[in-house]
Amino acid sequence: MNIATLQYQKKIRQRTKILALGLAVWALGILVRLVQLQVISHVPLSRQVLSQNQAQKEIIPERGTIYDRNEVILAQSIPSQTIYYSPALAGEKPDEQMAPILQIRPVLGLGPRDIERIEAAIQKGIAHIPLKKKIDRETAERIMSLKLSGISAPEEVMRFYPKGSLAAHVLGSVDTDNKGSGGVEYKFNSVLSGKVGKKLILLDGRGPRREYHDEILEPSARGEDIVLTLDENLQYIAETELARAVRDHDASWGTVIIANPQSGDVLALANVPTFDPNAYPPKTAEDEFNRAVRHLYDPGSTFKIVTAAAALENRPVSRDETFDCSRGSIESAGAPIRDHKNFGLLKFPEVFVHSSNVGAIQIGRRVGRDGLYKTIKAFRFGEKTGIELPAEAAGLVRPLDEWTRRSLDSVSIGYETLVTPLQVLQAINILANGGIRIPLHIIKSSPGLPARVSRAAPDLEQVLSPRTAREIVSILEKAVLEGTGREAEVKGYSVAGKTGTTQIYDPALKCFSTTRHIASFVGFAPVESPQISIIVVLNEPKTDEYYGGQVAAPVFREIVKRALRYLEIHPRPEPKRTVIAAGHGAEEET
Amino acid sequence: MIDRVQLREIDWVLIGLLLVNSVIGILLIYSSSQYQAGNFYLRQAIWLVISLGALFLVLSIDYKILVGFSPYIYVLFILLLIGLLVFGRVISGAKSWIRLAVFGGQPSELAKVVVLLVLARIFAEFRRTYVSLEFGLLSGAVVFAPMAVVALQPDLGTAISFLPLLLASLVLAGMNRKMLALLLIITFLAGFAGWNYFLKDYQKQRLTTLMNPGQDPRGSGYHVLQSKIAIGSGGLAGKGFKKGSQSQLRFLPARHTDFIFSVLGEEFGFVGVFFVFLSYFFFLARIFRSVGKSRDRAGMYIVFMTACLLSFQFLINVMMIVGLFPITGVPIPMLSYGGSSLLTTFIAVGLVVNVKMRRFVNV
Repeated sequence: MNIATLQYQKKIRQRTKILALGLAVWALGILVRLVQLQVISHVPLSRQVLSQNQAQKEIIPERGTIYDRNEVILAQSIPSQTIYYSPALAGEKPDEQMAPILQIRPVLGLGPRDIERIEAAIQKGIAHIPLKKKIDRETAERIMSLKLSGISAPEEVMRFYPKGSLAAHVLGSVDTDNKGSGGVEYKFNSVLSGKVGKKLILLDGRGPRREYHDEILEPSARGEDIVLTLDENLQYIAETELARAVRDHDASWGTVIIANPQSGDVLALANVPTFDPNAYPPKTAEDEFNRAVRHLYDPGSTFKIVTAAAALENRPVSRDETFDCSRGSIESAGAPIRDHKNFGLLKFPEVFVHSSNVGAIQIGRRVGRDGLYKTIKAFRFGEKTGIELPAEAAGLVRPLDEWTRRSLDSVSIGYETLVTPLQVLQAINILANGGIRIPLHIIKSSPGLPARVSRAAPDLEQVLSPRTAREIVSILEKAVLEGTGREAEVKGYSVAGKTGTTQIYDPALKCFSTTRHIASFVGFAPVESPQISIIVVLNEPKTDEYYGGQVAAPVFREIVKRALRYLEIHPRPEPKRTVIAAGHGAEEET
Repeated sequence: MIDRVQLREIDWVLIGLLLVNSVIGILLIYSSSQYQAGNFYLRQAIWLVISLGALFLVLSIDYKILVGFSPYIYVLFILLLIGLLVFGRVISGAKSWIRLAVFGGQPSELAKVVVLLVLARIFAEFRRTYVSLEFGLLSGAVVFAPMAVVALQPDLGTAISFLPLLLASLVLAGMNRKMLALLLIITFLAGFAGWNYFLKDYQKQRLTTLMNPGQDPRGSGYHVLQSKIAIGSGGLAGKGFKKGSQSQLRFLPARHTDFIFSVLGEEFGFVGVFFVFLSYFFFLARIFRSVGKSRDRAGMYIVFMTACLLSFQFLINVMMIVGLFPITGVPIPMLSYGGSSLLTTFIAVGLVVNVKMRRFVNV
């Protein structure tokens, strides 16, 4: 064998030394790199550790409950679950990833469209796919018991409206993020939603990161409850009667508001069309529109109570004065305004009992622009009532300097002024309260809101003299007994009210339509001690009958009947009646 | 076969250093995999016993006999590797495994030792001051044959571990400039052909993400980034045994195998890293110093090539985990989990001790 010579060994040692030295330098270079990582970049790299294995998550608090005035639950938050799917945990191939979906498909009731959506999401590489939102706990448990990989069902909170569409426009609903949308849910979202908490979750690096521990940093606080002034039963009465009237008369929409004039509490507020807040958002935005506080219209004859009040406050006419309505029409700035029939001579109260345009215009002219305008403003038309609902409309009162030659006549009979149904109800409340304006409310109380001002508060103002109010009420009582509002009469109760039939202004034709009307009725009962005031508005009844006295007054009557029975206000014993009402059948109003 | 004189000459210090490093490895394997099924530390411990047995078996046979038989073993291994390529099952992405009962092995690891012996035999015959072209080509062919088969498995990490054997033998034999130029050209051509014809897309991606790992943290740069985060967050003193968040929380890939050094860096900090470097330094320096103590040329080549092989694997692995080299799957000798790798290291060190203990034998 080859015995190495000394010289060769020396050479070998030299070569080895050079190479080993080279390797040592190399190793030193790596050590420098390690110093760079472990000493110099230690802080930023440690921060990256935290950023990838810690995350902060919001704790969504439970939303406050909404009650009616008798603490019946109208909206509440209940625990629910959403089924999520993480395809990466199920496998790598598309068919592996679809397998768990097909397995739970019958349990979840997924349609072909859902499957398509899920397939698309898997292809896009979405890590967390919501399969079905807001399912009940039982179904969730059944799915989780299948123990499929990638399927999870975290606890969530879902908003539930146990009464379905009842009071939908007052309540509103919540969007997918549990934020209030519409109604009280929107207006008082910050009160209802509570305080969002924070928690720290720790994650590990397996697949899509898994949380293995969490810790509460800031606790969440449950939202505050809200008690509404609504009465579930009266709301139900209002909605059923309204729905029936809209159906019977084929109206395009309708509104009913019931309030307690003495407290200002809104007891019911209903609109048709409506929606189910459990299935939010509704099919069309139209369904969500709260016409009771947002729709502007010419009030028509219901506005004559303002003309009457202006006349009585300013006293330009005496109570016994007669007005000549025998021509059945009156010239107004070159165009005639007609009554629907020839009334002959009418005394001051009779003008309103029979709702004569000709008479009301004569009275309006006697009052004059300033007096009429002052009274309109006293009734607070043209400004928001302040009800606790979103997007209330203020209405439109034409400023005096914009009045035309025709304006005084038009305003006297309820045109050229845009109002909301709620504003008209507020006007009748002022009359029912002897001239005192008591602000309308829909919130009774909430721990999250300042307490409501009591009735004795200084902002209750006398907007009309008690005498004027009393006189108009007696006129309105007569209007129900023998005038245009006879359909509103309720046996055993004293009722005061005013009809209204408005021709709808057609912007295309620039004139008032003769075929499209808004029929309305506003009134209260019982007259001696008003418990409920109601406004009924029906838009475009398409039956032969379209007058407020024919279409809206019966709705008012039925609601009063049912509502007073529910409120246990008993009818007075029936007096002996003489048949004097016969032969009045043809009388109507405009 | 071992007489008393030889027994006295056994380098117990070297074997001791080998064992110390292997035990450190088992500790790190325990820390990085104790929370998952598989009992990797236990398996490694069993492998350690087997490897130690193999080491003493190697000692008992004169290395000259092994060198003499090496061409036959070489042919056997080439056939085995080709057979694996044809009939083998793909395990973790490569056809490199032989499975026997519980333990599986990768013959490609052991093939390194076989190539080492063949090269020793070839160069023992070589008596000139500088390598001739014929010799260069012959030794190149001996190395490239198994390397190509392993690269086709495909196991790039193991394949490139053959290179230092060739380089080491050529350096020791002495290269002239012509030889060096030729080698550079061959390397360049191989690299060109490799990039265009042999490298898989994921391997190319690894090379490109080496340049900019932050670009795509969840993709192929993820491993490097996680490794750097683990090492960097360990800081000077480390987070403590079993307390490395990146390895314990499974952010770190291949924690108990190729990335075991990251676990060391995270849990024991720069202090731990420096200690292992130092222990490696003593270990490798001791082998390098033994080169001149061989009785014959074959012995010198064996010792020198072993030193280079182990140094190279160590350096490449550490470079890989600190983001200076593409992730190629080169395990770190003694520390990484893996029976075949451990066995290969022990046999190679066994050969070194074998050469050393027989230096005074007269023939």
